[in-house]
Amino acid sequence: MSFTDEQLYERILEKDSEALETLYNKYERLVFSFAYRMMQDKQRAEDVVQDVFSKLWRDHATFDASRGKFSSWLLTMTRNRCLDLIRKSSKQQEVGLLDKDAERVNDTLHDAPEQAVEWKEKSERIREAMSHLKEDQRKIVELFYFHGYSQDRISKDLDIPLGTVKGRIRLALQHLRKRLEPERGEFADGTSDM
Amino acid sequence: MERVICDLTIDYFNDQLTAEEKERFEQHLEGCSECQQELAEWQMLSEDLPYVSEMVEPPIGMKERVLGSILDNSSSVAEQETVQSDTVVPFQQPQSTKSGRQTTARWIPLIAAALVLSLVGNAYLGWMVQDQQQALVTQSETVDQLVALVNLQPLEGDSSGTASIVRNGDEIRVVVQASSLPELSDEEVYQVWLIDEDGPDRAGTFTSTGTDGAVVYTLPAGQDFSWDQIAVSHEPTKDSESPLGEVLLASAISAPGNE
Repeated sequence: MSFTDEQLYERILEKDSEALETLYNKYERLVFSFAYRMMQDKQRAEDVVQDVFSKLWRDHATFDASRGKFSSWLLTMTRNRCLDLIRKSSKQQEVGLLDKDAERVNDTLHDAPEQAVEWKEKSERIREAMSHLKEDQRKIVELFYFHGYSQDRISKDLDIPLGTVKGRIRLALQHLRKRLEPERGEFADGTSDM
Repeated sequence: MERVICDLTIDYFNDQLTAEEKERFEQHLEGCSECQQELAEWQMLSEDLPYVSEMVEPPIGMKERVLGSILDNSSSVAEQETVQSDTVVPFQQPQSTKSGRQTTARWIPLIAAALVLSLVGNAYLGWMVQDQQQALVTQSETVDQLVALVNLQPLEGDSSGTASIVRNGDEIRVVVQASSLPELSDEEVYQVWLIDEDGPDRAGTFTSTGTDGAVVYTLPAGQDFSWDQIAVSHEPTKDSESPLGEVLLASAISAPGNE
């Protein structure tokens, strides 16, 4: 019998280490890969994985199922932790190129577990949506989402007016929403997110 | 005016607002359906955007390190009330082994200083340690076997701390707890070193909450405890393979069987 993520989360609150391991097994690659994408450093990405799962286990990080899926919450925790560390270290790395990732993503899928199939679907879907953005919009999403830059910082870094930053981010959001909305819901997380 | 507050949505999402701005925006958010929708859309995109990342194979042994540390920490903290759970932040197991370690010349005077200070300090603070030791021994009768408890002597600054070595079955754990630690910046950490005549071995990295910090280090299964000194240094990064920063605390310890 497989448990939903929510059920596993409840069991973690009761200090069930098997539940922690089950969730860890399921999300290790996703959390690590996302953290690596943001930190650009394997050791620091591992530190993030440790922090996220420690928080889950030790600090009773509060998940509210009514506000979204467990996986989204976990990824938000991961992103927040990455941004904390990036800001703390004041070493915000140069922007990684989405195109570079697109070239390499499929190379690691041949021997991946079943989650890789879901990953591939989601990855293709978001990349397809991103590909319809103009280069300046993609760059701004990168700075805003993966680097957590403020609008002021983006404005200074790209040497564009603050109003333009806001406009481009909103425009990017609208485009992505338009592309993703019709398909949203087709990629439920199987048994885990029922 | 209203437009200006709405423009803060993006920075609110990225937690880039000051406390005042944040409070003001949250008040605004309650009544602005446009901002609520925009925020919800970004949150929804957070389900998809991480998948832009390429799938990266986690480093070998990461699962063991991560889960081992979390669960080990948890059980140690539960068993030993002397360790404050909210300050325990170990995040790296030692990478060096007995055969691969390096002896650092500059370490030698520090070892000597540590020994002298340790002897003086132990005499001076002996009664304190005795009290704590007695308490731990009483407690350990039901959970762990306390092998040694040492009072760490300050070499730099006014930090203080204790180190206890606890045996639980085949497993030996070293629990280091320190207070009045200097502030960390950037990637700095505190590193615990176990020292013998061959030099120092890494034994857990930790950061601090406020000025307090602690770490629980579990020796590899089956490994005997053979070190005779313990020290805590202030390192520029968690990757130091040998002590690079100031040694804050140090003390001589007794090996198992010598108690």
